[in-house]
Amino acid sequence: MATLRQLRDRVKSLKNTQQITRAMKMVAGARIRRAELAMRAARPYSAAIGEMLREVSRGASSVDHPLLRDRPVTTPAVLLMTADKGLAGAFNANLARAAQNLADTSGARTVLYTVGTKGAVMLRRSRYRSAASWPLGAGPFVERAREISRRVSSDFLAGSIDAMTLVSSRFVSTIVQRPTTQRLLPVNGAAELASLDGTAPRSPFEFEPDARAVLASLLPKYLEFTIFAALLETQASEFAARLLAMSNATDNAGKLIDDLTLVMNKTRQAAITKEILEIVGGAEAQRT
Amino acid sequence: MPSTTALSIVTPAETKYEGEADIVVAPGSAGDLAALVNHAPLLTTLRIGVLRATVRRVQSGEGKPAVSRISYAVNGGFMEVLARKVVVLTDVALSAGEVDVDQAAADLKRGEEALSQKRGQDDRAERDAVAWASARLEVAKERP
Repeated sequence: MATLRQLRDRVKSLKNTQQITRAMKMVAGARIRRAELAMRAARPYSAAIGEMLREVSRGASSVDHPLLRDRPVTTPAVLLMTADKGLAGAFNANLARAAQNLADTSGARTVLYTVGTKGAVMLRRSRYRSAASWPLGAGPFVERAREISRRVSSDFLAGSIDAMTLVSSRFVSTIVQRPTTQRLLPVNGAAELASLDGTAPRSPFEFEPDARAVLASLLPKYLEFTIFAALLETQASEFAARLLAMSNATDNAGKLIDDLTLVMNKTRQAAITKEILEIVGGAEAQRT
Repeated sequence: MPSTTALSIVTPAETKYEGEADIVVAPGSAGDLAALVNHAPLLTTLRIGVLRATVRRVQSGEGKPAVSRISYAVNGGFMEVLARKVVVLTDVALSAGEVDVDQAAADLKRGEEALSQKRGQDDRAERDAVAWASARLEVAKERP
């Protein structure tokens, strides 16, 4: 049985912990809102670049670009996005596991690219070679996305990787975040390019300088923006996961504090009762 | 028939401008080009430069829209022109008030020095840096 002092110290330390988890919960809550706004602000760009890509693929007589070219895959690559920090429940672990499973099915020659410190650390001991890693950082992500997309597209064009799949988190809601995979390279998986077989009506657009040139500059931008959007979504998911984890932690600390306070009060009461009994017993003994 | 076209300037981070424009003058990669209402469909790449437009702003309380001019330094990108719509897609668009003049001037100086040292080699990055700095300075001059 713990002494009264030990119990009091434990309650005090739990209260400190609870204060920290509560603060982290509130910070995450505030950041989610900002991250959601950033996601919403990126939507018009997404719509516009999708439309342009559709038009240009209809306008070009034959769509061909090194970034679109399929080739036999001997060196697949996985780009994993996680958070830099933990304290977000199973968020990072789920993403790392999804990447690990994907790598396991695509072969031993898989090359890893990671964004976010946690993912890099978790996969350090895996048997796959890591080609590059970046921290997720705090945004704005435009620069980071450009850096990543430059690196992966140059690796793809140089032939050191033959295909790339992105593993990132999808922000379904504040409660639900799901690891998702999507193909990044070659780019031809994009829905906008689905009508490339030449059956679609010709685009009414004029292109300047010409359709090929527009496509050639549009494709890297499209890749860059896909990465940018995934970074935003992964970050929003991280905050949502942290909000939930810290909210649970705060509740759990509260429960522990309640339980311990009860034990503490009982212990104190028992000590008082014992003292009274001793006094009464002593008095009784003197009377007789 | 409407005499204006709907202009939007969109970056990944935000929609920079949205409104009715009489005319949009953009730095197209094959030369500056102007878009008015009922322009034929056009999709063009943009160079680094200054995008200008004459826009109608509806002031609150007054029925008649006021005509004003806007300009943005754009860091390359794309422009899609339709009969009633102009969409400008760019990484960065800065209005006069957003330009850090000292920074831009310093960038211009540094860029020109780097460019002069790169004689004969691939100097695309340096050229872009110089163009971006001059575009920012040009827009900053139009500060009211």
